[in-house]
Amino acid sequence: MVKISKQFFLFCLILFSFLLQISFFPAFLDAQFFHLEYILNFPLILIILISLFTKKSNSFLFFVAFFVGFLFDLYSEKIFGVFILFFLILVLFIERVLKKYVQFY
Amino acid sequence: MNKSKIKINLSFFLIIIIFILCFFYFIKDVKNLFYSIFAPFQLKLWSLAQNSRSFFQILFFCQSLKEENLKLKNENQKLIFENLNLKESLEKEKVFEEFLKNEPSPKFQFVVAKIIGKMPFQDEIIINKGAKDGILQNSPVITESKVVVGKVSYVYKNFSRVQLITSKNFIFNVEIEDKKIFAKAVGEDNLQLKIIQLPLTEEIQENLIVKTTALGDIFPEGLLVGKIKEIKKSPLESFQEAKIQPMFSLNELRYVFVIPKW
Repeated sequence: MVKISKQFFLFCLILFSFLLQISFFPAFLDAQFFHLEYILNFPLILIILISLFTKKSNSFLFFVAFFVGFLFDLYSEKIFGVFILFFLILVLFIERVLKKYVQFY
Repeated sequence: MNKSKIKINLSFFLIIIIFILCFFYFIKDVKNLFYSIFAPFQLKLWSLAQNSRSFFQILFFCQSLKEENLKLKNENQKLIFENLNLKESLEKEKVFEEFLKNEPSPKFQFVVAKIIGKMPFQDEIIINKGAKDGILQNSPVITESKVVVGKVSYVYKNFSRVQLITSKNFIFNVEIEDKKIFAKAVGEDNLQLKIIQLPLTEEIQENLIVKTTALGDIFPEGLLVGKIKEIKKSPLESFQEAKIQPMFSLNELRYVFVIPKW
């Protein structure tokens, strides 16, 4: 039950951060700071943080990556699936790096 | 591997392929459905962002000053537009005299739409009006002060995507005020716009007004685009470039006007 609620909370958080990303920050930022969209990308930051702090290989992590990619794909004119692939590769990359070079105590 | 297992795997694989194909076939409806679900939240967030922006402006400046500034800005844009129209009418009057004396200013049929969000990593916005409201692909989108914003790039049932004029590789014909110089404007993303293919022999200065022309049939004639900001001249090239500061500011826009027919 705790696990489900934690996962649900994470999904809500990601969805909220995505909505902020597409509907709050663009209306908030001035033209000269517009490129910040690439750096201050909250769903991306969240995914990286979740991947970094999830110690074990977790299918949930890939599901979250898929979800974020799906959301980005919905609002993109690029071929559907590009962002899904990007986020899945990102999560996989972080997981591999952590497995190979980082030791958890 | 026995035959039944292969059959199961194959059928599973086929189901997935059919599912993906169906998904791509209905992608327009799927997107429309998700936009409909998120639209109320997005509308709230967009207006919240604008209100928060105003709040921070109150902290740093004076609210009355901001409102006055906005009013003046709008009035200025309207006056520039009127001025341009008047100048044009005067010129035409000289040529056609009686015929163009009573020519009305350009009037379009508008569809008013609300901005609900911006597409990630692109200079594109989403508006809450779609095919249901009579919006057509490639319809020009302008502000209340007749400043060109972009064109409708994709129409869903209830929503539309608007490609901003600053969007990468968005090319349209423009005219520089007073000079009668025709050139092309190209979007560079991140709300940046520039003029290209401007012959070196043409003399231009900063702050000149750039407006649309009827050439290319993308926008109606005479809509405001922006002001020339930075001129780049290179003796090695036969053309000069100039950056344009767009007259619309995305973070101040809440409503846009779509012109399905002009």
